[in-house]
Amino acid sequence: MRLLAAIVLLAAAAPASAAQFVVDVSERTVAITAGFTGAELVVFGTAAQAQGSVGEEHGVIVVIRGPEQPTVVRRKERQYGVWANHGGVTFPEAPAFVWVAASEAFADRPLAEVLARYRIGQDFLAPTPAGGDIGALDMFQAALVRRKQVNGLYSAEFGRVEFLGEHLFRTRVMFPANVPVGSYRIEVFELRDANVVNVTASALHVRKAGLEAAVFRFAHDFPILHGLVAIVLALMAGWLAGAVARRT
Amino acid sequence: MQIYLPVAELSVDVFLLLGMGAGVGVLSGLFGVGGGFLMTPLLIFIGIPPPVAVASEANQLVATSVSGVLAHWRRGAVDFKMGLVLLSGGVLGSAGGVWLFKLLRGLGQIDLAISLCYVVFLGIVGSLMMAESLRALLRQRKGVARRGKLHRHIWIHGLPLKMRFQKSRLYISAVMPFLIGLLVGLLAAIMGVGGGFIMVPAMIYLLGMPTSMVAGTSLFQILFVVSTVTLLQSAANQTVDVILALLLLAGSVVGVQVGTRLGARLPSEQFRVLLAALVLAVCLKLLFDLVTTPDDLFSLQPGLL
Repeated sequence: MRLLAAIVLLAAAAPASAAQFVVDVSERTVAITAGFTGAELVVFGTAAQAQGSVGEEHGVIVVIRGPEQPTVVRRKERQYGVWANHGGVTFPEAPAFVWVAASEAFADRPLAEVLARYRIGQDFLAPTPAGGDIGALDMFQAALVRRKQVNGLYSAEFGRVEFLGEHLFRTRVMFPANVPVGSYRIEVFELRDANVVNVTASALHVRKAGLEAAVFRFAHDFPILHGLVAIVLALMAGWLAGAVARRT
Repeated sequence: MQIYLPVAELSVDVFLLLGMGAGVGVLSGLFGVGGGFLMTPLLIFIGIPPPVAVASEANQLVATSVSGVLAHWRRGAVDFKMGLVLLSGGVLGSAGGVWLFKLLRGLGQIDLAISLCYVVFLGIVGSLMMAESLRALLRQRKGVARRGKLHRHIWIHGLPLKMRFQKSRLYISAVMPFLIGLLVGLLAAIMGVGGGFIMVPAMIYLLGMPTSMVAGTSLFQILFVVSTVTLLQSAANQTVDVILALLLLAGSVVGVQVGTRLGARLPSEQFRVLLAALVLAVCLKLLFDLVTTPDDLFSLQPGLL
């Protein structure tokens, strides 16, 4: 309801021809709780240029990405008849998650081509490596993107940005259940012809909440105590099971 | 119903985990095995990261073994002196195993190491079990009972540091049980198993322990070794997922009871053949995955090279 009201307000505020470029998101935090199976957010806003008033190459691209984390890409080779990891390349700042959506003018075109044209996303479609097997770099870069796409963490094609009228747009983002925790950036680009005419960036947080967060923090902050508690819990459960079994 | 596992960092169906716990539990009850050697590969098959699968399964085995130890202890079927010698090796072995685990994980070879260990040990144990149970079945058909020698003198009895184990009525070198404990501890840390499937035959055939003492004493050693592994894995790698362990545990508690009751009614010899076949099937599946060309030669791992 809050979202709907916001959209209506935005729509009412937008004058007919030249509007302000404004973007917002339905939630600022995604909380991962015990029953977490993914989350849906809505990114919405108004484009400065009215749709259809200018050439075909007009529209909006939304990029959500984060958190940058060091990632190793390893390659398997057959050794003594068995496939084993052999050699790898580190990407110190590969985003764990990338989601991209575009409005009608771009949505059906290949993602990499459109992003390259507007110089968006060199950092995540071709992240910078740190040392390692530099010779076959392209292969490792492509493998990073491909593996992430297979795991549902990188968009393989554009999601849809819908326009409701001339200025108002919105898009639904699905965060999968395996979404990594951390800080994300929402970037929205307004494009006209060959240029990016407007950009906004805002932050989004994905964090564990409730019991899940408590267990994870405990395991990482007090690893020894956590181990002892895990043992005691198992001992009690096992003893209880034995006691119940003897009764029956 | 999905549940998010906080350490494994993924969502899994609760009923799948409970069902796996129950299924492996039934087999545990039926055959008197811990089931770690089936559960850990199953967890890896459903997508739990191998380090988390191994460490959490060790945690679950703490619970599985404690009720067994208590039951055998009440019957006086635990040789504590032998257990402590085994355990001294076991603690050292599991510490070495956790260290090795961390090292291999850094090198990106831990998945391979786990799979290879499983292929080798499941292959050996499965084949031996299959041969043994088929022979027993044949003997049963022919109706001939074979009698072995009461005591065979082999090279093991020539080792130094002889100790007297009153409960097992043995006077043997402490070196051999120590080494057995060491190996089992090492495997427990790397494979997420209790190691009963190696220890029990070793105790019977290498140490010559009476069968009545074997189950209780091996469970005693396993209880402490898997506890050590849980503690060390948690401290060194933060890979113990308590929620995962508790869910598996809840399933296995029920499964074990069903299995024990079934076991009392079913012909055990025929079922040993089935267990051997199951062990060999898991071994072959893992071997198949190692030798066939993977769909993608590349894989991702968080962290730095």
